[in-house]
Amino acid sequence: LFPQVREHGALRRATWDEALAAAVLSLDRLRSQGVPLGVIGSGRASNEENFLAVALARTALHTGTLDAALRGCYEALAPLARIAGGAPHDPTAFAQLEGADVVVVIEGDVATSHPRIATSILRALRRGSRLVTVGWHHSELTRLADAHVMLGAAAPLDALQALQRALHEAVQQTPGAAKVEGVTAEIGAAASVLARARQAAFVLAPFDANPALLAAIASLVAALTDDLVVGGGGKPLILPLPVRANTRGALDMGVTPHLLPGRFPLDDAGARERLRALWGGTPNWTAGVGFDAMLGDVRGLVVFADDPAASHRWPSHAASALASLDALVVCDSYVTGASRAAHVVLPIAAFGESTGSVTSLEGRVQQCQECVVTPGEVRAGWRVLSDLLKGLGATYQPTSLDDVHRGIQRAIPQYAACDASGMMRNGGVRVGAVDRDILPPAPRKSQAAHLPSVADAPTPAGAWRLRYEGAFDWGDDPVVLSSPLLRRSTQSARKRHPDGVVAMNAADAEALGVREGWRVHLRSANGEAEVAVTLRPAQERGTLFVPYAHRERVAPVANGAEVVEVDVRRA
Amino acid sequence: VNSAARTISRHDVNAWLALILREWEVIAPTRGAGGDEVFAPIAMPEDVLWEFENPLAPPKQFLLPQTEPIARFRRADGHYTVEPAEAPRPRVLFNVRSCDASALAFLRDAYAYDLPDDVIARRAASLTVVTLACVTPCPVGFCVCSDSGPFLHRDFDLQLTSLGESLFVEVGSDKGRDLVALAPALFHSASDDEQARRDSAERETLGLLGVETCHFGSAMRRISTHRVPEALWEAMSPWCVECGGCTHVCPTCYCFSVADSKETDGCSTRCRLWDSCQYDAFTMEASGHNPRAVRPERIKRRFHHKVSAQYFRRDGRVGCVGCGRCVKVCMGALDMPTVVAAIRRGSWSGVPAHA
Repeated sequence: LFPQVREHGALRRATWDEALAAAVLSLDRLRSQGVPLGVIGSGRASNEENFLAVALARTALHTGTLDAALRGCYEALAPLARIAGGAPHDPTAFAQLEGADVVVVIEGDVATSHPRIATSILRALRRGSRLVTVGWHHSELTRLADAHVMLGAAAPLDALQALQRALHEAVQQTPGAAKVEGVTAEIGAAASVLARARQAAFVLAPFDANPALLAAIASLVAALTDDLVVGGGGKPLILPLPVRANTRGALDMGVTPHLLPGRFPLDDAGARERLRALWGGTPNWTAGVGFDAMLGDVRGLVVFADDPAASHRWPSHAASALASLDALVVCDSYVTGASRAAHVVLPIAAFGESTGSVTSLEGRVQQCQECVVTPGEVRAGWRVLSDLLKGLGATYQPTSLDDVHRGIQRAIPQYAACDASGMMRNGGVRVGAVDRDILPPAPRKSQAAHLPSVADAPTPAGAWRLRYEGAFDWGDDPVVLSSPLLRRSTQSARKRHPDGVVAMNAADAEALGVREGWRVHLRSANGEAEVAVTLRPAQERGTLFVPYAHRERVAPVANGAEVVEVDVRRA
Repeated sequence: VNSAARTISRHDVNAWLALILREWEVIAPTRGAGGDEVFAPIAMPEDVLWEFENPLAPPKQFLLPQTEPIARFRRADGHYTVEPAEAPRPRVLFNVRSCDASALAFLRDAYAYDLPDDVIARRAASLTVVTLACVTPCPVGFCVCSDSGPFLHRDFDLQLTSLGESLFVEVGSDKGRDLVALAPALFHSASDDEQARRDSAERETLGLLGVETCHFGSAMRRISTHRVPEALWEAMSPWCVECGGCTHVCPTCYCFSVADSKETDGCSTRCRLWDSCQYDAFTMEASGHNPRAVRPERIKRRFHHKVSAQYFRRDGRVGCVGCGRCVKVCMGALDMPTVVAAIRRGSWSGVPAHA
């Protein structure tokens, strides 16, 4: 609740003036030395804060190295979003989902990661809708499903491609006579349910951290929905789920290394002119390094409202990389791994403690009002970023939140209509769908074959695979850790398995001679680990899945890879 | 006529409240910062709401705070000293609904059995509960099923009933009598007619609630005689997203965890925090064994705890007061009326009883 600076290796309480001066001094020194610097924005921060974070990077620190965690996952899925409605009072995505007659959920476990969406799915089921789940294993929702399409670690797309073929055949047949031959029973059942859909809904959770896999799945979903329309159904709802609530807003504001605010290309003359007029000086227009490579590339980093280790595949490696930086300035409302490693900690207001706008997936910009007094010496995020811009000598120095907001309206044409009264209206101001021409297109099937995976090579009989599942970890999110009402599944799972756990098919466990909670020894070409197992009756045999919350334990075995071959024996 | 019953004119209520506010902290339904109706301390009589939807957060927090310091440890000169929690402040809970007043009594008793909890007992003793009887049933409440409303016959210090231009005031305890004694001139002995109007309001509200549709007793018998099939809990399980919302808004849930918070000056505070029996590590033991590691077991435990006859046999209470908050908050379909209906039928459809 107060600023801190690192002195003799330890953080000590400081005044705001001291802390801002220390941040400016360390960043300025690195800037003058010409070493690479970076900025991390966040889907946990407001549009105004993200816009200033971009200005800080491109004008004050002269770097294009800026990004948000898990941007790739979002960008792979977001262009696929298809939500009806143009006016604020059109049905929301929730209402459309609840009105669907068939719901397809591509998930990790939506009931855990996105419980509000799970609620709408349950409401649809109560009304008599049918459900198809798709994933690495049976989730809680699978127990209510008419069919489950199991993805295999070896070739995750195979099952979905088979489903698409089966559906394609089914819709070519006489409507209502959807009998599909030549596919497994589960895929046949799923195709049969889908073929009868009049108004389907597809929910795409960020169930994997690999953007290429998500993009390939997105293109298959697009093909599935095309077939549904051919088969006489209405245009399906497609609802990709973001990991953080304002990811769309952060990316619209330009928190990405390869696009300018408003998602304009870096060489767009009009966008450059508008930004130059607002920011002044000579902004850096070059493409920088993205999130995944940033930690190994930069020497100085400003982290705004995020913790890079929380979404890193090897959290302790990310933490060591942060600790070895020459300057780490962390602005956050919570104590995180990043703030513990920081040289300067600048405490900023959390949601509800400050005013700011956010943009939903469907492009509604709404204002969140300050409704409680900021505790301690906490300051609004926009003010802290503005002070950093000023300290670093940038010509853009907004003096109020309105000032920042007017800047966004001037710099980003899509946001020109977002005035304060519009954003306060129920439903906010619509800025439209994500522009599919600007975002990288989802690869079609031919490209999807090139997924980084050891699975491309046939696995020798008897060998095991280890695969990470899910990109979403509630338990790592400080918002969750700080809220007594949200400390739920992952938090409990860690308490139950303090030394980590991997999931194994129950039949594999029997063959190996282990039971629930027993430990196994894992060895790969990279390293070794010992970890407990939890048993699942339905998941691919021969594969050990690593719940994302427990990835640290097996990180030496995987060494950053998504899938590795491992030897497994009872410990 | 109840000889202790009084009436007070609506015009005089604020003058009475102003006198109460001089001596006590008063918690009442009021408009919160965002415009929601909440239970919160009020600064002036005009802050009290008289027409309100019962707030989603019950007044439980004023007896059992969400985070409650129970002891403070101080280290000095190589020795630890333990200081007890601060003494509770005397408070008046004003315009509490009957269900919530019953729940406060339930919590007080729950912490008084077996190993009496002194902190809760002292806080309960320092609370004066003034209820506002319900003359209109709330949309999802079912208090009549668990004998905790719409009017109370115990568990209040004062019970107010609106008679239009005046309030009918029933005194339930010495604490209630003390509140009336603050301004004796403002109160008048209730007449036969006023008593009759109060009784008629209770009858009419009971009629509107539909006593004949109550299945709580039937579910209690089935649970307490072990006639609920295990498969029922299995079938319910996927309809819960394990958000813990039901337990956090429930006015009678009292499960807690204990955590120590370290402070910078060498002190640490041991706190009691609300926890939820629906979370999967809640019952995990130090050995690592977890008797309720799977969700059907946790759901079974919750409803056995609330619906079984254990409290009823002990003191005539039921573990649910029928406030209906779980109906509003459940993200799946496992609210009390739906589950009670399923227990009674012995089958689960996933469709809420109140849909």
